[in-house]
Amino acid sequence: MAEADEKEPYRWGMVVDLDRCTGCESCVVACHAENNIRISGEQEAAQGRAINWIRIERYWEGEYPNVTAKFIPVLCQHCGNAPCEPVCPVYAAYHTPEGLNAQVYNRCIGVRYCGNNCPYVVRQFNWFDPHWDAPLESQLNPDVTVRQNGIMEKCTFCVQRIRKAKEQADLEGRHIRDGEVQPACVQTCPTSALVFGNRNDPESRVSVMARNDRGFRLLESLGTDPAVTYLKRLS
Amino acid sequence: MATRDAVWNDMPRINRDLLAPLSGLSGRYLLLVACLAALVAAGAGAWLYQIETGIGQTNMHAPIFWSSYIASFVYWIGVSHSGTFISGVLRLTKAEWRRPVTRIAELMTIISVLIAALCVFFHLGRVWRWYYLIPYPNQREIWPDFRSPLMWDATAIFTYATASTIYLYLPLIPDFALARDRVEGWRKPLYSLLSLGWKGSQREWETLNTAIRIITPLIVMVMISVHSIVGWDFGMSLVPGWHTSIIAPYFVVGAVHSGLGMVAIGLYVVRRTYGWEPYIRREHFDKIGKLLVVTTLTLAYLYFADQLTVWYGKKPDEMAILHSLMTGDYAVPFWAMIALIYVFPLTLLTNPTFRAWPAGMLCMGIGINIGMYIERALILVPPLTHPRLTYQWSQYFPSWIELTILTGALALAVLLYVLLSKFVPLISIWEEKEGRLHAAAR
Amino acid sequence: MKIKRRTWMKAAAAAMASAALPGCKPQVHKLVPYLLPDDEIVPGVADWYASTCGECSAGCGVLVRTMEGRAKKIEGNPEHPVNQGKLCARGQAAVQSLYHPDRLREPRERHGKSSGVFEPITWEEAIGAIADQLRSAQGRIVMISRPLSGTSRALLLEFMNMVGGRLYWYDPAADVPLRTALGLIFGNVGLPQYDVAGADYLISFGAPFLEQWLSPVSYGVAYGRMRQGRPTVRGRFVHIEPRLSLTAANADRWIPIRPGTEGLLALGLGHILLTERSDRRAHQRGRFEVLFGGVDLKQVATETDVPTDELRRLAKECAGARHPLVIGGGSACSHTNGTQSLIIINGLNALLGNIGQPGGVRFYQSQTYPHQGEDQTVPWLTERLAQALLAEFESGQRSVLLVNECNPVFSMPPVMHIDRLFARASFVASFGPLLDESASLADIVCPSHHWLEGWGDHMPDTAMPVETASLQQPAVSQLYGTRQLGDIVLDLARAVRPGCLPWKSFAELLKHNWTSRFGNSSLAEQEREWVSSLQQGGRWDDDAKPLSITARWTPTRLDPASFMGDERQYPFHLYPYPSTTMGHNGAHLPWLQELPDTLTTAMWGTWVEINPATAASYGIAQGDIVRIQSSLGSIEAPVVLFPGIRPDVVAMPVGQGHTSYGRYATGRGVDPSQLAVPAFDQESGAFATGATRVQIERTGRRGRLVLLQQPAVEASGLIQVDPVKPII
Ligand SMILES: Nc1nc2c(c(=O)[nH]1)N[C@H]1C(S)=C(S)[C@@H](COP(=O)(O)OP(=O)(O)OC[C@H]3O[C@@H](n4cnc5c(=O)[nH]c(N)nc54)[C@H](O)[C@@H]3O)O[C@H]1N2
Ligand SMILES: Nc1nc2c(c(=O)[nH]1)N[C@H]1C(S)=C(S)[C@@H](COP(=O)(O)OP(=O)(O)OC[C@H]3O[C@@H](n4cnc5c(=O)[nH]c(N)nc54)[C@H](O)[C@@H]3O)O[C@H]1N2
Ligand code: SF4
Ligand code: SF4
Ligand code: SF4
Ligand code: SF4
Ligand code: SF4
Repeated sequence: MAEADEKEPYRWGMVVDLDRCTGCESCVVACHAENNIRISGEQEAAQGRAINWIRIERYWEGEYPNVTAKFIPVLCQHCGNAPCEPVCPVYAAYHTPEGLNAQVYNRCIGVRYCGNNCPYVVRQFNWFDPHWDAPLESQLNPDVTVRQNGIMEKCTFCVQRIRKAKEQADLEGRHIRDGEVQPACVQTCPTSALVFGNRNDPESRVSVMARNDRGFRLLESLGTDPAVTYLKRLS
Repeated sequence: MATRDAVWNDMPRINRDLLAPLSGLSGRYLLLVACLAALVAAGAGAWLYQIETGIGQTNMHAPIFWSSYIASFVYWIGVSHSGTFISGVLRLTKAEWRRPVTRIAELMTIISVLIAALCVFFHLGRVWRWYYLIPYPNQREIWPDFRSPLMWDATAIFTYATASTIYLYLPLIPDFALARDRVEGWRKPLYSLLSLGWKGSQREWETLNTAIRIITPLIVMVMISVHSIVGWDFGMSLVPGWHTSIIAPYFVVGAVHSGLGMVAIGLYVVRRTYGWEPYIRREHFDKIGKLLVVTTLTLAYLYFADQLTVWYGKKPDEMAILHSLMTGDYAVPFWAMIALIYVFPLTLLTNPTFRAWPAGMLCMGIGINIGMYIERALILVPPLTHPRLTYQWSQYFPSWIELTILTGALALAVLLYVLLSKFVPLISIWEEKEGRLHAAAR
Repeated sequence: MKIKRRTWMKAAAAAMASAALPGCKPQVHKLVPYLLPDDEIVPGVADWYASTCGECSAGCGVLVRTMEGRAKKIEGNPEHPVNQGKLCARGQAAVQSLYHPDRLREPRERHGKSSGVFEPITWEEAIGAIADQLRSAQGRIVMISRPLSGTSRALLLEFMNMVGGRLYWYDPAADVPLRTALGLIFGNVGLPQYDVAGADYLISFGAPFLEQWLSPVSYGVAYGRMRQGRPTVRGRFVHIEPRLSLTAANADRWIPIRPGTEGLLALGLGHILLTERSDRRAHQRGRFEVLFGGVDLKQVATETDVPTDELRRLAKECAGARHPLVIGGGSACSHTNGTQSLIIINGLNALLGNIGQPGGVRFYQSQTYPHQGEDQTVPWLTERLAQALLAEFESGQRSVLLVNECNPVFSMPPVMHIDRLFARASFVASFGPLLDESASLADIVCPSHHWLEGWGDHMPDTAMPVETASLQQPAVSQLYGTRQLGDIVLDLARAVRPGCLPWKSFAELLKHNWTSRFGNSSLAEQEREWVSSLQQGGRWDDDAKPLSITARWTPTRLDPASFMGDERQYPFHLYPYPSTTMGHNGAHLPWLQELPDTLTTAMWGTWVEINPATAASYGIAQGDIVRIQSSLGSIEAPVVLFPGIRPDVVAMPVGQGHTSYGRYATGRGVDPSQLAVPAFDQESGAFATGATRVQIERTGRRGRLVLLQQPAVEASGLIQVDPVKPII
């Protein structure tokens, strides 16, 4: 593996247009379906342990009758300067040359320091072994590891899909085209609030949209350099 | 003031007194051991259950990824500073009154470091993969990541444990020799082995003293580094309330604070159990009390400086934590903590008659340790329950499993101490004698 | 130069670890890959099948990803005109309805009329038994089915004609009053396309078009375009509803109107447009006087609880917009004057002159594929109609009831006693996949295939600018001994009257229908077209012909909505709404159960939404259990303090409280329809779900309220931790 730098052909990123997002949450289910995210069940959910790699945070503003509810989809921001990475004592949280914040499940020992140090609280922990009532497990995606008890997990930008597209591109001896890789959440989002692409290509849709003057990044002042850019909602 | 001759004549009695605990088993002793063993067993059972079924047996959940186990880890590391600090610093400063205190304290160090390490294992999500933390040669060429403060921690604690063991062992050699020559039965060969054929020749004494003189300053440095690094486990993170430069010195002082409290407890118990009033005198409690006043003031100063900065800065993420402490979810433990580690010590220990009152000092020691334990928990939990994205705010209180395991750990600590007391002279005999001779010389 | 924190840490680490670890970041990448992390796994090869989502009647096109014969993931079909590659949460969760552990695996017969025990039987026995009943029932045969389209619909109609029975569509989400209103205005031309994407100003009278309304995904797509799809225009959007629904939350302005007065507000709006702002449309005055003529704006303001200047503002914005659009549904449908209100609401579009215009209300004529709505030969089963059936079944005559993939026993209010319909029918057969409340009252259950296992086709419910027909094909081989509904029907036909319906199998019938459409080209040609249609997931080649329609404006009464229960004794309006995550019938899917309701973030249960001010006056806190009481019954549920709801309204999601719907839904939550007091929309006969008044009562108990936001953590019985107050 080469080292991460501008010479890398790809640096993945996402844009979330809050003026489009309706909070319909099909992205959330799509992510569960694609990434073998466990069904936690009522008991664990009641203990605050339901696992979502992407969640729609809802913030109330104002009071009745002038009250509004604002939505913001929060997933791993794949920080270019990720606080979760250096604190992991066993290299389970690391950065890929293409700017993904990756997680090596079989390396993670469950110290959970990374979880504390993620300002976005998107790292999710497996407090028990997962379980699927037969035959629900038939749906599991063979390209994605099923995580066992004691392991940290989180949004991977659907790395298996990136991987697939790379193989295809290599076979055809070309680079991945803009929009060729669509993470499950992006793929399903009815309003197209989510856009994914290569930030190293200035002409890609993410690059163009990220330059939009509605753009901001979550808790940017922390210097985490997120790969996700949000576009302000206009009302 | 006794003459040199009087002291010399007194020696056999000193030997008898201080070696007495090594021989004989009372029913009360066995009963105590049994009870402790039961608690330890319960803790062990709970831990196995947690490993078998999942770390979810705790009440942790996002964003509270660290909790009681890490709090206890910090606490026990703190306690471990009693020994090194008392004997180390007091030896450096040639404080005469240290002599009957050092051994009692150093034993605490070894044991609590052990318990602290244990707490880390309680905490791991996949404890069966703990060895990933060790840099061992392997075909996959994987090393632990030394950028992680946890690795600094592991390194520091390992060093600390080894150093303290040596530090405990060196002054023990002459006492083991003494015991070797006076006890019979299964202990004799063991003592002769451990005393490394100590004869008490001039050369041996000089070597021993040189060794002690060399290791003493080292151990003090290690001690400071260790707890600074424990502090940095928090300080290096981005978590509001943790990410502050004051945290390292604060942790060190806090550690000594609880350590001294623990020593007070130890002194009282030993004194009562073996009727060692002539050795552990009121003056010792008085001295400990004085030291506690110093640590209280320093700690209070650091804490105030930190919270004042937070309060004046008015940064929302940090203010949320401050509020939850002063008026919110954690107000009760917070104010209890303030009373136990700041208010009571300052008001009571500044009074000489209280300092010289052993029972009072016992309660003070217990109070301070409870307070410091709460303090560790409060450093840990409120910041974690108040992340910057308020959507994720939550609460935490330990589960039965957590409490059982941690009680087991506490019981284990006491048990080890009780067992060791049957085998290690709890007061350094030769240093005691040396002390008396010095005193007579003046 | 500035040193970043972690840069420093790396330096520190390098210093500390110089022995153990040569260098830092580059090294990381040399070390890690030997672990085979997920970004190294070689992805497997999948087979994709184009099909049509069968989870609701919108009929979105899907691509099903299968590996080793198992369905792994369902994605939107980018080519498909309805959903254009997108799916809703329900569609994404469809694989779980395929692999649901409690799916019926073979036909079963009930052990005696009263018992709840079902015993497996063979298909031959099942078909035989039903056929006997059909023969012996002299014409008193009723089939209640979820709305179907295309070939299955045609087959079902043909079959019911053959056996001389009646077919009804039933779907609790159908918004029957809206369909009735549109029918009265425009005639039987089916649902129009509300061109949200093309509108620059949208007023929604309670229409939950961003939740479960008519065609959720297509409206989602349209909404995205309306907001940000055009370079210069950003469509504005005002939502009018007593509760700040998910749809309302996305509006630029939410108007909390008094329940049941939506029509009146529309009347007022029309009046202002007509009298004060109709300069552009002066010639139309005459046409609309009948509708919007004599209205007293003061009265409108007081009754709707919407100030007059707000009304004027709406009118101003409407008149100022280039493509204003008004839609109505949901809460506007749920009152005794539902149809009347919707006539007036849709009348506004005519007044604004946007019928048939871009960004307006558009109808299309489809020659090749008739639209589902276009002939009303299949009536909707409303609650009032169900009452009529019930009366009819009273008399001792033999009667046979067939139920297909719908669950009226659960989704019609208990006070309708629809279960008696099942009890009185001399024989009931059900074709649903699960043993739901209705199926468990049947004498025989004949589980049909899941749509991922079977054949089918689908014509969109709403008008489409392109002629659209979608295909369903088996993406996986059938898991159990179930049978395609079409094949069950053909088997029955054969058994009842041999040789009447000649088709060997439904698949054959389907293929015949399609290939015959491809015109009289050669067989090989037809085969090729058929295969390409299957590969594509259907046909949508040619544009549909716009249909110019002149609305008929009869003078329309608007009665005030009537409410059940004395206002003083029952001070609150009960506002039941279909669960945003599960809809009426999604509670059996664990993914949807665990999907946090976006506004309350609640999972795995039912809750009551109460305005914080109201709650305070009752001394009620988040998570308290309250008793909701109507003149007919009472239920208990935990409270969610909900800032976006009128103080005189309490809202509850509908969809939970099942007594038999698979392991994930059964015995979970409560069903607010237990409180419902009988009241019908006058014109359509649909149950007026919003007509019930209730009172609330503290129980002093605290209940389990499972939230994603700031979970009220259950400390496994050790101590009771109070839930954190939500940040408002
Ligand atoms: N889901 C699933 N799991 C399986 C199997 C399956 O079919 N499906 N098959 C099972 C079988 S049969 C097998 S053999 C195992 C194989 O399982 P593994 O051996 O764990 O996986 P591989 O991908 O074969 O190789 C492991 C790693 O070796 C690295 N590697 C490649 N060349 C070298 C080298 O020269 N030196 C070093 N040190 N590393 C190198 C690769 O980058 C890869 O990350 O998987 C088993 N597990
Ligand atoms: N790209 C790539 N290629 C590889 C490897 C790699 O790491 N990467 N690994 C190599 C290695 S180490 C191996 S072992 C081979 C494995 O390659 P294969 O031997 O092909 O193993 P699979 O493909 O996992 O399984 C073969 C078939 O067996 C079927 N099967 C499963 N259970 C049973 C059963 O009980 N009875 C019967 N009759 N069939 C069953 C499975 O459904 C599957 O279709 O792949 C080799 N090829
Ligand atoms: S799918 Fe798209 S619109 Fe729906 S919640 Fe997710 S991001 Fe928002
Ligand atoms: S968002 Fe959190 S988990 Fe993701 S990279 Fe940033 S710090 Fe790490
Ligand atoms: S939980 Fe896993 S990834 Fe996170 S720090 Fe611990 S070992 Fe590393
Ligand atoms: S990118 Fe993939 S992993 Fe990340 S949230 Fe979206 S679907 Fe889930
Ligand atoms: S709207 Fe959702 S459920 Fe209905 S057909 Fe489309 S995807 Fe399926």
